Amino acid sequence: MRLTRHFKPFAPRSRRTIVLIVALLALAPTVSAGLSIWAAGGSRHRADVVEVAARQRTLAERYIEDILLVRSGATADPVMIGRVLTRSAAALLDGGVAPAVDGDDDDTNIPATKNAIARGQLMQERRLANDLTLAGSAFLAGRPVATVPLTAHEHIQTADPIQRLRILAALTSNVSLNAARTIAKQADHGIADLIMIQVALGVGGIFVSLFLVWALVTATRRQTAHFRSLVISSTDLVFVLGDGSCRYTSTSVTAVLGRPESDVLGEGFFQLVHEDDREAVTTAVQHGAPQEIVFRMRDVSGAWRYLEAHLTDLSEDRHIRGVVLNSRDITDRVKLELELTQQAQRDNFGNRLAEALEMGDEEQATFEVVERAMVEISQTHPMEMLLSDSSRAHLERVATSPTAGSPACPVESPFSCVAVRRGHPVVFETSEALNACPKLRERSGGPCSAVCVPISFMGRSLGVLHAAGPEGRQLDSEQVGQLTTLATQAGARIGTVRAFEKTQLQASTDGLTGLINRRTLEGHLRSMLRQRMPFALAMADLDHFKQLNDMHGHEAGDRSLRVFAQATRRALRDDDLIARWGGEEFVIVMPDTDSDQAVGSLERVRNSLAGSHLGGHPPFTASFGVTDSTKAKTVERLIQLADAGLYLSKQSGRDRITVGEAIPDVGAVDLGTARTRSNGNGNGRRARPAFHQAATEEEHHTTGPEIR
Amino acid sequence: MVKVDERDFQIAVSPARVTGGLVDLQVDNEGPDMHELIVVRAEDAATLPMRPDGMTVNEAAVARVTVASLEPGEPGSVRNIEVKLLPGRYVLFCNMSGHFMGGMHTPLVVT
Repeated sequence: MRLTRHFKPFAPRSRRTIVLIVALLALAPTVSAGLSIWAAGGSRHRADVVEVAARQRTLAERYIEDILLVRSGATADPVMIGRVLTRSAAALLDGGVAPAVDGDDDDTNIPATKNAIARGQLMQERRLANDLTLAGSAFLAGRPVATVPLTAHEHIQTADPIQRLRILAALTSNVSLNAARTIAKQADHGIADLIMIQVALGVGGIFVSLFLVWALVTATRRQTAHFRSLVISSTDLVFVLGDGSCRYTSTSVTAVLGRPESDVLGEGFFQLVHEDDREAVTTAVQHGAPQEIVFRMRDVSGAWRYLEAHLTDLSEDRHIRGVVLNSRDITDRVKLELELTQQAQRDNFGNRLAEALEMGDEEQATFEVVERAMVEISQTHPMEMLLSDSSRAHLERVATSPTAGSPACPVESPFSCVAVRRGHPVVFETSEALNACPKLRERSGGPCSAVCVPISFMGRSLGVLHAAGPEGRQLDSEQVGQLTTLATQAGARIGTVRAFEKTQLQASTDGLTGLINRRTLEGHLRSMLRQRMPFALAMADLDHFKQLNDMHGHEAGDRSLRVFAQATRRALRDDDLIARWGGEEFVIVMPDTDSDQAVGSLERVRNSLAGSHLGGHPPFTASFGVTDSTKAKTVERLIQLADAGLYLSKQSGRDRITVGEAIPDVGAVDLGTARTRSNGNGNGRRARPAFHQAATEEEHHTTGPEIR
Repeated sequence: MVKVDERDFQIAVSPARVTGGLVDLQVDNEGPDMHELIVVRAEDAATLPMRPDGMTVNEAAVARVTVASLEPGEPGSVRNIEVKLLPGRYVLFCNMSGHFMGGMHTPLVVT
C-alpha cells in the first residue's frame, strides 16, 4: 500500500520545531552568562587576597619594628602583629578570615589559594612567619634566638638575634611580596582568561545565535513557504483594501491584469475599477459584511476583466488591517454566458423567423416577413433587401425597412457588391475609411456606417441585405448576427420558393411552347365544372403539320408550334387558358364565353396567326372545333364535342372554325364519316359520332395557303 | 654546562669547579619562592659589599665584577645563560631581600 504524504502546514510537529529553536535561542545566552559567572567566580576575591598578601610584607616589617620598640621601652604590640601575620598567612593558604590590624581595617574573609605556585610561596611564607614569630617571641622572652629551629630551610649564618630577626623578617616580607605578585599575576591571568572566555562566548554566542536564527527562519519559512507558494502560484487575485486605497495585492495581478503591483496599490485600484462598478465596490468595502461581488477592472490592454470577489472584513486583524477581496477572473465565463444568451436570442429570433417564412408560399410573402424582421433587428437603421432578377445581372430592391426606410444603395449588379463577391458579411464602420465600399461614398447624406450581408441559396448568390447607420453607430455584433440569420433564412426561403415554383411550372407547362399542358388544363376544367363556371372550349390543330415536318424538319415544326402558341396568346384574354393538348393539337378554354362568342375569339386567333408569318418559318393555318360548358358535364365529353367540330373543320377544307354539337347516341353515328388519324403522339382518335358545322362564310375562310 | 639549582634558601652548583671560557649555566629554580641569580667574580660571599640595610649585596659596587645577572624567575623555571668565565673564583647569589642573608650564595671556582 502506498503511503501518501499529506500537506499539513499547521501540523503541531512544525510548531514544536520552532518552539525548540526559540528555547535554544534563549538557552544560548543563559549558558554564556553561566560560563561567565563561573569563570568570574574565581576572581571575585582576588582584590582582597592580593591586599592581604601585600599586607603581610608590611606586617613582617612592622613586627620587627614593634619588637625593637618594645625592647627600647616603647609601647608596641608585636604579638598582635605576629598573630595577624601568622593567621593571615594561614588564611591566604587555606582560606578563612584574615584578621584586621587593630585600628586599621576590618577582618577579611578570603578564599583558599588554588594556584600551585602561589600555594608553594604561601606555605613558605607561613613557615617563615612562624619562624619569625617564634624567633621574636624568644627574643622578647629573653631566650636565645639562634636556637629557635628554622622550618623554611633558612641558612642564616649570623648569631646576632636582631640580625636573625631582621633576616627572617626580610625573607618573610620578600616571600609575601612574591606571593602577592604571583596571586596578582594569577588574577591578571584569570581576568585575561575571563576576557578570552567572554570573547569566545561572545563569538560563539554570535555563531550559535546566527545558527539558531537561521534555523528559526528556515523553520518558519518552511511553514510559511507553503502558503506563499499557494498565494504566488494561485491564479486568484487577493486585494487588501483599507482607508480608501489598496494596501496589498498578490503577484497574480500581473497574470490577470498584465499590470505591475504598483499600478494597483494605493489609489490605483479604484481608478482601474469600472466607473459603473466603483460605487458598488466602495460600498461593499465600507460595509464590510461577507459577500460576493462582481466588478470589472481594466487590464493593461484596456479591456475589462470581470472579477468575482469574496469579501472578508479583517480590519480587526492587526496583521491585515483591511478588507480582503479574494477575487477570481471570470471574464471567460461571463463572455461565454453572454455568447450563450446572444445565441439563445439569435436562436429565438431565428426560430420565429423560420416559422414566419414558412407561412408564406411565394416570394412576396417572404419579402414582407423580411421587412418585419428588419424592424425587429433595428427600428432606426435603414435596411433593404436587393435580389437579383432572372437574368442575374441586375439587383432589384424587394424589401425595405418599414420604419427607417431604405439605405438606397446605388449598387445595380450583384457583381458590383463587395459582400456578394466575398460571400460573407462585411461591416464598414465609416464610409470615409480607405477600405470602405465605394458605393457608400457615392451616396448623399455624408459619412455613414454600413453592414452588407450576402444572400445565397445552395451556393448561388441571390442578392444582399444592406443596413446603414450614422457613422460610428453601425449595428452591433448581435444585430449583425441577426441580420446574418435573416439573410440566411430569407435566402433559403426565397431559393426554396423559386425552386418550388420552377418545379411546379415545369410540371404544369409544356416545355416547347410555354403553354400549360394537358394534365393542368384538365385540372382547371374539372375545377371550373365543379364550380359551374360557364366557358367555351375549343380544340385546334395545325393544318398539314406532318407535311411541314417532313418537308422542313422538326425544327420548323417546333417553331410553328411556338408561333401558334404566341399568336393565340396575343389574340385572347389573360383569363383564357391555352394548353398544348398533344402533338400539333391545342385546347383553348374561354371563361364566361359560349360557343358563338368563342367563334369570334377564335377568328382573332386565326387573324393573329396569319399576321405572325413574317418569315423564318413556313406559313401555316389551323383548324378549330368549338363547344361550351352548356353542352356537356364532363371534360371528356366536352373534348369529344370540340374534337368533332375540329374534325368537321378538317373535313371541310381546314383553316376554319366549326361548332361541335352533342349527339346522344354513339351507335347511330355514320361511321363512314369517321376517321382515325395519327397526330404524332400516338393519341388515336375515334370516329366522329356526329357534328354540326358552323356555316358562316367567314368561318370557312382560308387565310393562308394549304399545306399538305 | 654548569647546573645551578636554586631553592629556598640555598644555591647548589654542579660542578663547583669549571674550566674558564664560555660556560653555559643552566639555572633551575626549584622554589618555592622566586629567585634571581647574579654571578660576580669574588673571592667569597663574605667579601661582597652590602647595602646599608645589611640585607642585600650592593650590586652597584660589584657591577664591575658582575659577569651575569638573571632577573627573578618563577618557581619551576629553567633558564640558561652563557657567561665568559676567566680562571678565578666567582660567587653566585640571589639578591632578593633577605635571600642572600638567608643562605642563597655559593662559590664557583674557574680554572
